Amino acid sequence: MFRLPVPFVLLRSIGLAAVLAAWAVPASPAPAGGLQVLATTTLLASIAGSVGRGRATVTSLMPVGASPETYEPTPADVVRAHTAGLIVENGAGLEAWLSPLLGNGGAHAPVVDCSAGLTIVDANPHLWLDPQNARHYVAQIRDGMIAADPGGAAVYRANAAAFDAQLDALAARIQARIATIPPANRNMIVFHNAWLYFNRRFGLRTLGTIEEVPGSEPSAQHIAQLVDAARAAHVRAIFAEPEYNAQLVYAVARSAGIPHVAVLYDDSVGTSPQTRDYISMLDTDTATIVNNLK
Amino acid sequence: MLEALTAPFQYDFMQRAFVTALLVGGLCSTLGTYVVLRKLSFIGDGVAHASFAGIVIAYIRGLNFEFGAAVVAVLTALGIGYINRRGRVSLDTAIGVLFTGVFALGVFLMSQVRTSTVDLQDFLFGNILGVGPADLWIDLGLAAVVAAAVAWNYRALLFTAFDPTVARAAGLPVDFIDNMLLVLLALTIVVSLESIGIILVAALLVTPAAAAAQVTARFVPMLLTSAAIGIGSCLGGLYISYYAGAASGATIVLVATAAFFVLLGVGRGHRQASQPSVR
Repeated sequence: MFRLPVPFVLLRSIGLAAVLAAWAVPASPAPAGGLQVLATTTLLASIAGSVGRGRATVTSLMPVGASPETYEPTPADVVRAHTAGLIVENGAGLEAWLSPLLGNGGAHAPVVDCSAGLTIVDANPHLWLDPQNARHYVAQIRDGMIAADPGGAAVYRANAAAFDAQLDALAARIQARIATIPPANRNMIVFHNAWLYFNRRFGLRTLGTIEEVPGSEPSAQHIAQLVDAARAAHVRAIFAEPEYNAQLVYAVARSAGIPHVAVLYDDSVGTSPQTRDYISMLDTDTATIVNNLK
Repeated sequence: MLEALTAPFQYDFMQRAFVTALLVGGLCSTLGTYVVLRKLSFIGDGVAHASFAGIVIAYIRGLNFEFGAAVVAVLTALGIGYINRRGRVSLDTAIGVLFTGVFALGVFLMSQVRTSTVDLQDFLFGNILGVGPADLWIDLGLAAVVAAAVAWNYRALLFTAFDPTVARAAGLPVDFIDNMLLVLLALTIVVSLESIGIILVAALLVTPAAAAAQVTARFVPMLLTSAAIGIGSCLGGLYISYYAGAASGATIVLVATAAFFVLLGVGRGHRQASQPSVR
């Protein structure tokens, strides 16, 4: 997509001013109200909130619905990063805008990289969509919270263990529901390849993606190949993302005679009542996938 | 060879892309003749970005995105004309002032919305490969309206485009004609934006007409050459995009740019042959 550089230059300079302003603020002492945790996305805030329940205050840096790949931080975000006691990020290249914000903003808080230690495939950052990876996220966040607030170790351990059990149950629940899809129908065409880790875990096949690289315009040849692949495999459904224009998704569906077009949520919770937290988001998405592929 | 030409037509998304190329390519490159003569080259970019504010407002108020974009685009276009007449600045400067201002208003309002669920810019900008049946009917309706308006005011538009000062002295309603042209352009840009995307609209409004101006200074041949280059670039670009696996919008723009440079060379040779240089 073609966008003008002018506003970016403007935003950059506004960002710089905010950074300077934040620098001038004297470093505040550890807040009396307990550990202040700042997660980059609403999804990570949902996971971290389960680990810190009853002791840490968890907020999300990005607003509900914003896309982490393209987020532009505001001056208020710089101030929040500066005053946080712990920062939780996904890592794996998702938050490219974060480190200049932290480094230049003079933030001193330790950063938990949730995906550190996991195997990243094709530089794809959507590791959290596999609940087994989410269990790793929980362990990372738990350790980060204990290091930042040793007094709460018992609380964080108990919360993490309870949430870990819920994630284990979630993984089993998803597996059982996917098993009800006839094996020949387990093919998905998606907008972005966000579902890589989910599909590998649960035995679904990603037949193709509309945008191979986020923001890159597909060629006529690529769309034609998707249509051919969808026809050959009798693909039952194609999946769009709520944040993006579904024009091309519908074009492929029309050309290939795909009966269902559905929406999957992958990186932001809270955009609808069915996706208020991580677990309900994946339950909703699983139901969408199963109902449309069956 | 024939098979290579017909192969893309087995897909209905390609059929619609080709029809859209004929309609929108022809429409934009025809209006482009006026754009180039009136020095409005950045109107495409300007109105496209300004209309972003329209969809942000529509989003906040729960209105239809296209409606919001169209209203703000038309108001911006009329504002450009007003600033040009009252502010003693050229049209390109008026575009520069208003488009950044209105676009910034969109970005400002968007940053106040803390719970957006969509990438609004993405919703504004379409792709020629994704044109649906409804888009096609809207494009057809717009093309009919613009063709009728241009045919009806053909002489006045022609006179105003070549020499507004003389046209005014001759008693033509130059302000009315200018406003009409700006409104037609704004509607064309907004509608085309949603079916084919911003880079293609901005290029089709300028490049084919600029290429045509290299080989003729007469209005009707320029208009026809421009339309032929616009439509030809769209068709050629779609074939290249299909066989080379390249982004469609960008390929079409590059074909038009190549046509411009070819005609630039032809035009130079032509002028040198017919009018020996005075220097």
